[in-house]
Amino acid sequence: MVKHKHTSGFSLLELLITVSILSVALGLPLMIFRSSERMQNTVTTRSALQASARLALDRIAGQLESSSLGVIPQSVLGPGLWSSTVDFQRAGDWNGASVDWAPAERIELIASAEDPDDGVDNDSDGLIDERVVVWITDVGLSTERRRVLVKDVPETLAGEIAANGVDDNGNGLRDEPGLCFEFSGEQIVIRLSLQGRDSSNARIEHSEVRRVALRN
Amino acid sequence: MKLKSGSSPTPARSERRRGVALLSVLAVLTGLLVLLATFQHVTVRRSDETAASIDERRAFHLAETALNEGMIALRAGSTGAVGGVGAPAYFGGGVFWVDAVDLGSAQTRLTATALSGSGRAALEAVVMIHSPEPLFSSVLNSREPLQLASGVVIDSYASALGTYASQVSSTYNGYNFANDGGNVSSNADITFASGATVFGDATPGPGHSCSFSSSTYVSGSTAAALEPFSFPPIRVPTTPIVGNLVLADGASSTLPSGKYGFTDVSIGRNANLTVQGPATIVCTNFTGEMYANLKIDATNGPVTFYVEGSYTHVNRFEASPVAGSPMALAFMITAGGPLGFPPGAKLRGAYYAPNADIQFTSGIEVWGAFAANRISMAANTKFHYDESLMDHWNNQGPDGDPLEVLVWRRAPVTPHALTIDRRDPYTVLGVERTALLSPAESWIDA
Repeated sequence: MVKHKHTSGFSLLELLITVSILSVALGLPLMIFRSSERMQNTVTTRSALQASARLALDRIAGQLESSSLGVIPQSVLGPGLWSSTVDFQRAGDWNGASVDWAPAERIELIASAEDPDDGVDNDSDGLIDERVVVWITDVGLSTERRRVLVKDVPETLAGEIAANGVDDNGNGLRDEPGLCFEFSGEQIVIRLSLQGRDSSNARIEHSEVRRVALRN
Repeated sequence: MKLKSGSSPTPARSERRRGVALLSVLAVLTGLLVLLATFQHVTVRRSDETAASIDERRAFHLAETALNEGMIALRAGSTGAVGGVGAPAYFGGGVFWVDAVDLGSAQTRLTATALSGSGRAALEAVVMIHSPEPLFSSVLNSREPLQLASGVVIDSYASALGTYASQVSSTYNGYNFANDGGNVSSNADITFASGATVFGDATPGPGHSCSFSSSTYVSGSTAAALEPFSFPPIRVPTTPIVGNLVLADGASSTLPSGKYGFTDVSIGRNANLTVQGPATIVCTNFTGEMYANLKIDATNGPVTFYVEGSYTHVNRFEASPVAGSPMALAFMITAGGPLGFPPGAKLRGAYYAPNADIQFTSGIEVWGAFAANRISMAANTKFHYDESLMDHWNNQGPDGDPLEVLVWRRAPVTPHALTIDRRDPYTVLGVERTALLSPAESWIDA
């Protein structure tokens, strides 16, 4: 009987070995899974930022390309100078002698209403003082309308440190904001950075550059 | 079963355990399938969105190609239309067609529509084809009657070949001259005062004639033109204004080739401004002060000033080429009213002022060409037409291209049904891919 009882159960050593093997067998894949999940999450966040930035630049470029340097009143022109706002008009029809220009429009980087520029994360999204890009049509008219093109724009372009007078990210501009327009001949170079946080709360930034040739 | 179950309970527990295992596996498998289906749904949706975005971009680039194809066709003398909705051109994995509407006055509206996958895009441009007529084919060209004062002598040379003095090789009636390409023309009559001498043609406007006084001479033809000169309006290039270009007295500066916009361009006393061509400078006002020098380096292209306000030419201001460069300088002056030059001025380059009345005071010598509403001169003025000017400033668009884009914009896709039906272009249009022609084969001639 004693012998029978002994053979029907497990010794403490056997149990410990079994638990150890099970721990390793289950823990290792779990660790790999969680690690890949974190990586996947980071990639997904970065991919989403990239998609948002490209979409925003598509829309901005799509508006600007029908414009002309002659109807863009700019105070900052030339390589090395930037502006976070661009006022422009798009070409309408040709009236036989000249272009009928559409009402004035503006693309502008402004502080987010939910997170004013005060150094605090007012909207508790893990980002501080983020900006938004707005597209304003019919500027100054009663029909003026504002649309947000993209949110979560950082104060400065990726790699740039604010107000230190140095070109930190080596793109030829100094202290440029998260959205900036650089005029180069008859082209406008648009730079945009977006920021976000992944599941592990790590801050992720992504930048896109688009060069737009003005067609009129 | 009862017997087995009653006689031995252990196997029954074992069967129950096997059932639990099966259920567990099924539950896990179901969960995995749900996850897989969700993942696949998200992936497919993202893939579709990406594909649609790529198709839209491809369609846009295809529409740009289509518009350019229409422009190439126009330049070649075709209508600009390429294919049609029923027989589009095949290019780059998509299809396009271009509709062309003649708006008169050498203007054409081109509407390009392109389809690529599910992408749709349409672009529109109004373009103008300029005639190849040179702006400066005569040393003097006036819309109003032209009166050549007494003792005026006109001949020609080529600044691309060297200085005028180095090209003087002939003598006639006591006058030394270089070449006999010193043409004068007018859209009205041409009158010669006594002793006026032209080594070239004198071409009055259609139905008009030349009238001569004593001792006048024309080496070439005096036949009237078949068509009047059009004096096309100046189309000032679109250039942002970035301030003033002011050279202080005695200062020197070089403007590299490029396109510039200034409010004022002012070259101070004894100052030197060198401009490297090709260059286009748009300004409101231009002033050349006393003894100021405007040096032109047109080795790589001409230098053109567009002056929209006043042109002030102070005594002793001179423009001249740098060594080895032709004198390819032109002032396009849009303003009307009188445009005067001080006595004794040495003028080099070309002036196109279709709304202005140019006055040459006494002692002036000119190496270049002038086209204006009216031209008058003091006696004994000497004009030397620069034949090298024919190489530049044809009656073309501001960029030197006979085809000028007057306006460019995105347009709605027509017919509108194309924006709703997003199937592949061949199915939507009901065409066979293999039957479609290339863009060049799809030109529609008049």
